[in-house]
Amino acid sequence: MSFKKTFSCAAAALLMFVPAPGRLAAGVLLALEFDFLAISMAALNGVFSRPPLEDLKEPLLLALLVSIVILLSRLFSLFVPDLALQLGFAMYLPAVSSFLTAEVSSNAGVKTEDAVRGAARVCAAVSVGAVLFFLLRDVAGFGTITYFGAHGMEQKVLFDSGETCALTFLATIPGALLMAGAILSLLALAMKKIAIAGNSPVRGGADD
Amino acid sequence: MIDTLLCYMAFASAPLVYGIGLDRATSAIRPRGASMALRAVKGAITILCSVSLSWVIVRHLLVPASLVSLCPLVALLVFTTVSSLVEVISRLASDKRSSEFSVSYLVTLLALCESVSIIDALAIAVASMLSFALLSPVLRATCERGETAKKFDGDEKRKSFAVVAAAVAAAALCAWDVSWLNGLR
Repeated sequence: MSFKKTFSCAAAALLMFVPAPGRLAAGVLLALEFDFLAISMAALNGVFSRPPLEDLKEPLLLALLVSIVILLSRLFSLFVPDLALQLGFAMYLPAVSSFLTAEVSSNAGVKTEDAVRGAARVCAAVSVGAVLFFLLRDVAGFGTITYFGAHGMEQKVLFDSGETCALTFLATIPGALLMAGAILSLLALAMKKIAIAGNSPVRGGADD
Repeated sequence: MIDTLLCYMAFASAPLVYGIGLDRATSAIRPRGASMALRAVKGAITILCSVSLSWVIVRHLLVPASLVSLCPLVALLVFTTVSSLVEVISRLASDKRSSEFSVSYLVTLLALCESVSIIDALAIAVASMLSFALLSPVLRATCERGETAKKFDGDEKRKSFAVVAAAVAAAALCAWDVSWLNGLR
């Protein structure tokens, strides 16, 4: 994957998670939803690319994705109703994100097994990133770690969030946006440095 | 009505609070005038028609049958049909092709999910479109200013800067919500 594509995928994935509540449990649910959607899309992309369905591929895939989100939101409402209520509209963002559309267009002509394997790799990266992003917001913003318990979403209080008052900003949407901007800047810088190091003529300087 | 318009245009701005089209608004791609205008007009017509039709279907078919949870799927089917129809008409009229899905569909869905009447739904849809139309030029102008000062040496830095600018805009609009300042003494 090229530098530009990796960066735009990371940006799309991060911005998709910004409007969600800054709780680790919410991040885990959204990551699971994203994984399910991406793998379903990769698996069914090949099926819908065959005649006579090829002309209706895009609307069929979109209808399928929205149906999956409806199903997942009903399941979440059943098991973790408070969190499902908080997530609300944010659950529909991954289904229509440019991230999944780009993923499908890059899978054109690829075997279904390879497409699913590729999607699983992307999902692993996005899930780890999402969990870290939400963990940081949860700990810094609320001073808690949220998890799934016997009674739905439960939390462990680490410290009084009043003591780290300025960091409470990270729990808000502007705070999440600011954090996303900072992460993207660092990512751009790191990838640029890696690219420069990769092209450097003094790689493995021992030869000189 | 004016409360709804103001709320969804500024305080609960669709791109900043609901994340609708945030990726697009902070994108480094700069659309040209004619294609952008065509896309905006088509998007507005599609959204308003889809919201009206979907609202009627939801109110008179899904609510009596207790199937409101299927609202996003019905909205998608109506939106796809209306969008195809508008695309055909626009291609006959101007022979230009442009289609936009995610922002228009999410605005339609937001209007349906958060309204209590059809007028309310249309007001939310209009306000959400206006919020996107207000934010995009602000972010673009901020980034252009940075480019003039030669602060960016690539689209990546421009994108990061646009996201930070969006954060500042969101903080300015949410400044009345001072709950995160409670800890400051």
